[in-house]
Amino acid sequence: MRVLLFTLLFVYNFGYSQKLLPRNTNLILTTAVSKQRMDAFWNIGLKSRIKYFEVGAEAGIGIEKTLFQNTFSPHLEIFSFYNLIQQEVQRKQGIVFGPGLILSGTTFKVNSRFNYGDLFIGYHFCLGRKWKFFHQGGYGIMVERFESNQGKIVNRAYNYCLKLGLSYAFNN
Amino acid sequence: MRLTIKLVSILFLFSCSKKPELTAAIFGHAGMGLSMENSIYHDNSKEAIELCLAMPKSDGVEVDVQMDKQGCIWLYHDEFLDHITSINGCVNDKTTSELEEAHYKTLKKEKLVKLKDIISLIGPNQKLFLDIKNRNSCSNTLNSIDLFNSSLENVLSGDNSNIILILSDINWLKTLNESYNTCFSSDNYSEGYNVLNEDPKIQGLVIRNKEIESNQIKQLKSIGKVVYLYDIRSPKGNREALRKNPEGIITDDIRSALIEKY
Repeated sequence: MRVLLFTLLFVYNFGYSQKLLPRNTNLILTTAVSKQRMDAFWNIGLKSRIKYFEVGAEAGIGIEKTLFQNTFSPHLEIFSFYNLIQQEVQRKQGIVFGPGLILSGTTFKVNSRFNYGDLFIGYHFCLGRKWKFFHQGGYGIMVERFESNQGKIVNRAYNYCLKLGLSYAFNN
Repeated sequence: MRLTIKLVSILFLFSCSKKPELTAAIFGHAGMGLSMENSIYHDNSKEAIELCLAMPKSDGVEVDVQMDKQGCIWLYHDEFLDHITSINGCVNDKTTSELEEAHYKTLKKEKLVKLKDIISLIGPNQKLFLDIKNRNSCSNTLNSIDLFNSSLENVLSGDNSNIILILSDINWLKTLNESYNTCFSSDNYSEGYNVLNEDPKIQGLVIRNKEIESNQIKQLKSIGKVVYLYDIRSPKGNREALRKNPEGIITDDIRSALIEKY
């Protein structure tokens, strides 16, 4: 109960004692490393903030397969987050936090083409103003597809996504 | 001149190194690996074995087998059923009907599977390794070899040329190699060499990847024996194991092993 009271008090102060970050549309360049169940990825991408929403897309590679196993493994990701908290906390600092959806796909070829699709429910957290450190996390489902001599194989399993990155806002 | 040097440097950086010829066969350890993050199914489950055998150019699978109280042979790795499955105790102390009701404590709740239910999954060019666990850890006793042998005969009736038994107990090895292809399992190369050298019927040695060097594998090949490596859990481990040129590797990460080989 005390923890709940403290949290509510903290959220209350946090929400109303600070100035809101500008909510105009801007273009943000991102680079990030992420870890999922099947590989780690390095991505670059673009995202945009439209009022309370952030939408973006990233493209990259599977690090283990592409860099350490010489098997090209491209990775694509699109995401959208709703900024529940979007506040200025110090003079030139801002924080953003909110829930969202991440959709990603990966492919590589070894004897047959392996395709992976993932859907995550997650959150993102950003700290900074023009240069931002950001973190995304998510939990969801993964679908693995490949052709074998027994026909098309489809497997479903849980998957997770943990991402750390850096972004730069152009017109902030 | 400078441009030429730069171009040659760039070409050198991006040049491909010739891949050494890797001939070792690739087998999945307990299906898709033991406690592997990228394994979708629990080890020794029917689902994991099916997926392993469906991997393009998979050469087969290794499974762990234990016998229940009534002599039925089940696929199960650990000594105890506690925490991992929905029941407690040891496989050897359970009845067949008790084990038929059991499942792994995973999201997919895979059921424990009998050996007889996976025999038909093995393809014509694939091999099945049976790692035989012959000790009852609850009572700390050895199981009856006669009961195990007759149970195995019931399951493996027919052509057994693609089935290899893995044993670490010399007495069981000597009994079972009368009827089956067998390999000795040891973590000590010298012990393995001596056992294999003494018994011409034992086909080969199953040993941890880090416990053997490529020259020792050559030494065993020179006396007509084969070597299978296990305890391989990463792309780097797969690469190292394949380059030692054994007869096969029993890998926990079959996807990355296939990438390394092909």
